[in-house]
Amino acid sequence: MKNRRWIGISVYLLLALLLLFIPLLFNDRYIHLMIIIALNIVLALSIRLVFLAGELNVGHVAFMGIGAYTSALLATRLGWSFWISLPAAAIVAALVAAVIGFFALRAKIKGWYFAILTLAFAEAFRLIATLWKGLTGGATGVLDIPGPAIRIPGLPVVDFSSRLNYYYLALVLVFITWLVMSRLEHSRFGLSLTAVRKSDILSESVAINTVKYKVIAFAIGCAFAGVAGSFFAHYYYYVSPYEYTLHQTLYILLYALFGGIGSLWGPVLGATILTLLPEFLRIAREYEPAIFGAILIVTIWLLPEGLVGLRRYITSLRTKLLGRA
Amino acid sequence: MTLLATRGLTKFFGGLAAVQGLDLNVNQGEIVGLIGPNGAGKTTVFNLLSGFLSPGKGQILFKGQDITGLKPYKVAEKGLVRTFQLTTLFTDLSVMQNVLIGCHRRVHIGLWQDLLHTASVRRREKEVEDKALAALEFTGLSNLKAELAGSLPHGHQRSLALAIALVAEPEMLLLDEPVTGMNAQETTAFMGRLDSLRQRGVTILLIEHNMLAAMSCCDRMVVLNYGQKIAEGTPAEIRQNEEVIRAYLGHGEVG
Amino acid sequence: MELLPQIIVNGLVSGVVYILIALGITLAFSILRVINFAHGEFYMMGAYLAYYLSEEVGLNYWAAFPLAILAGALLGAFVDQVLLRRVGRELLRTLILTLGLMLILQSGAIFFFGNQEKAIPSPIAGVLRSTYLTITNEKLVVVLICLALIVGLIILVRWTKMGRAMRAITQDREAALIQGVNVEGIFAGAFAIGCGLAAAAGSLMGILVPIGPYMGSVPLLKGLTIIILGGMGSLPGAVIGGLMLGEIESFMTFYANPLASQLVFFVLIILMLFVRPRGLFGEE
Repeated sequence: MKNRRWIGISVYLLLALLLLFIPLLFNDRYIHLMIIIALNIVLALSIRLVFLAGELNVGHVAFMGIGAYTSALLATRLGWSFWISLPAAAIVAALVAAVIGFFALRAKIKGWYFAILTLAFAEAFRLIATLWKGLTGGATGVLDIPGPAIRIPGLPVVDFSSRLNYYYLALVLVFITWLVMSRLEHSRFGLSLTAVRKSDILSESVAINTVKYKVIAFAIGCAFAGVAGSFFAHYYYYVSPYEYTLHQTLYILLYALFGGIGSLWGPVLGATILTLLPEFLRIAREYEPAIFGAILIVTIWLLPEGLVGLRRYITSLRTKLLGRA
Repeated sequence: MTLLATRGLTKFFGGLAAVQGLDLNVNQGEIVGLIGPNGAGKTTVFNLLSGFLSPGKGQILFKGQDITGLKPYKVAEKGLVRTFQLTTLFTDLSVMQNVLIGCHRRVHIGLWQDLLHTASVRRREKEVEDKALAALEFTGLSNLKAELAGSLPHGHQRSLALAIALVAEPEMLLLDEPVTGMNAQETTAFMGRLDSLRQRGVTILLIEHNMLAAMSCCDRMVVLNYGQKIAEGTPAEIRQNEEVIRAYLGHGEVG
Repeated sequence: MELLPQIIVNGLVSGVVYILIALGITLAFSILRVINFAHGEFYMMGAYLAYYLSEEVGLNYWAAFPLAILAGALLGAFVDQVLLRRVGRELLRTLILTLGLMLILQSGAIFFFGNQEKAIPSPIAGVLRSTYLTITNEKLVVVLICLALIVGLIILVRWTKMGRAMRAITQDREAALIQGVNVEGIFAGAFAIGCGLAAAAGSLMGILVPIGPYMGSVPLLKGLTIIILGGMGSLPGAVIGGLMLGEIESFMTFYANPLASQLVFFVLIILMLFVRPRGLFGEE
């Protein structure tokens, strides 16, 4: 048994070393790709949280947008440092989510109807961002957003002119997201969340405030979306309302569902594979969406629970083919 | 001392009065049976008491406090816990997990502490685990703790529902037809447990269709028909009450 | 003020087409409890097929039209029985499957027809003019056909055996099964009809507007909006909702900024959800 543990630890260590050092060998294009993968993992993991509470957020990108705009405006209009505008973005996104979630769930708007509400909110957000030129710069958006910089007195300034620094930052964000999600799930909070998802009446009857749990899960998930938004704002140096479409949320949902929401690894796998796929399919040029679509269909057809269902599928195949595995 | 009291409790569904002008009292340490033919409104009363429905008129007082219209989780927090007529469990979780969830009221762990998984959290979780095991022991489910709740036979599922309610350490239990579908043996065992609970100081209000079981363990009974209280008294008195007999016969049922 | 009748009629024209789209979505939802995210692509497919059959194969438009509907319906039946059935018609898995389908259909359109917009020349010439309004004959015919299809669907649901079976399933799936209803058959049929209606709407719109590979995404969103307003799973809801959307849009295009009018919609939906979540006619 002890051996197994050491193997597990060494695998993780190897993975960590790979993630830390391999990019040094890559050129910018691949580093950019890995950054996108990292942020997609953050988005997929965060959209999964409200699933665990039994609700569906079809407006996730809007919270990414709220985070992006918050961070962008704080940086360009008030000159705040990235290191403050990032958490500010998370807090604002969380607050908006908390307010919406609280009033909606308290009014018994749940399930389907909650999903529609988030969709309507997201579209309204996008339209408001496009129309409110004074605040958001309208369709043009916010431009010339400064990149982050680490200024510790006594040490040389670390600026983010190289993509590599963004990569390490993205890695840290993924790590933190994973940690928080993992802790939430394996704690009493996670247990109560599961209870709320499976039966809200039984949960209420044992004094679990179902609305509170759903709102918290929704708010935390949206906070991380806000973080991702803020990162992108300072990475691309601009924010525009056009990115925050339903299409985008559907892709984030895809990452989570394709990988499988049954486990934390699902969104990680899903985001990684589905972000890389279009790159590999680039050779196919115009056929890329078709192949992407076909892979989605075939995978869910074979593995309705997503990629994390693969283990069970293999076990059942083995049992079927060989009698008893 | 009156633990639970309702005054003029009324609930309309559309134009129909499901419960009308109900005055109910349950004293501490009693086991009271709420009986009546099908459709008399008994489960509606439970839904009103536990906060799943809000009354049109009337008041509900628990431990002297007005709990009318409170949300279900708040009512449960005050110590009034109910079970459901149709077996309601977390079917694809294990028996142990089911009961652990029920401990929520007694565990009080803040979100930050939970995230950080401090030593005090671990200690409290251990205490909670012990309580859960004790409840399983009490309901005779200890050796089934790893089984999936949905895979248990019916009688055990009803017992599990009781265990979940018990770990919340309620002062009063509302049990909705707890022994339905149990055989004679299981029923006697269950009723015996209710008696133990009473000795521990838990007050019980019970909806039951099985007359023999109800009469054997209840101190008092309240009879509903068409949403109204038609009789109240000891089992002996109720057995001979003409109105009650008429109500049941009128519904084509024999007590 | 003189423009009022014109605005109303314009709204009517778009309204009836929206109704067709919404009916397709709501039919699938009320019977199968799924939402087809490729619904807009069936609409798009209908338009392209009508174009292809009438322009490149040389058929009369009025022959191409029913063929386009049939093709849409057959593809729909295939999708339901082969794909959706396999994943138990579960909502999120259907989401993924139909999204994949959407990508494939969009790619297919680009592959076969290229990125340039196409148009179907008008099969009916002429314009109807009166003092207060002008309406092209083709728009008039589109309205009439849509109304015919809507009435046809209502007849199907209310008076045929299939319609009765559909309603039974909507009320209680298990009970319907026990009563011997061919549930799988009805599922396939309902989904096929839904897709066929989308294809019909697309073919008709193909006469009026340019045809492009991405023309399906806006109709999908509009269809969903209508259903939320009118009530999920409600046929009268889809009708009223469709007319409302058509009229509101017509007025807002006239008097306001198109983006602002879209915003009004979403605010309306949010309000609806708080005040009357089930929509105007929806089930509880």
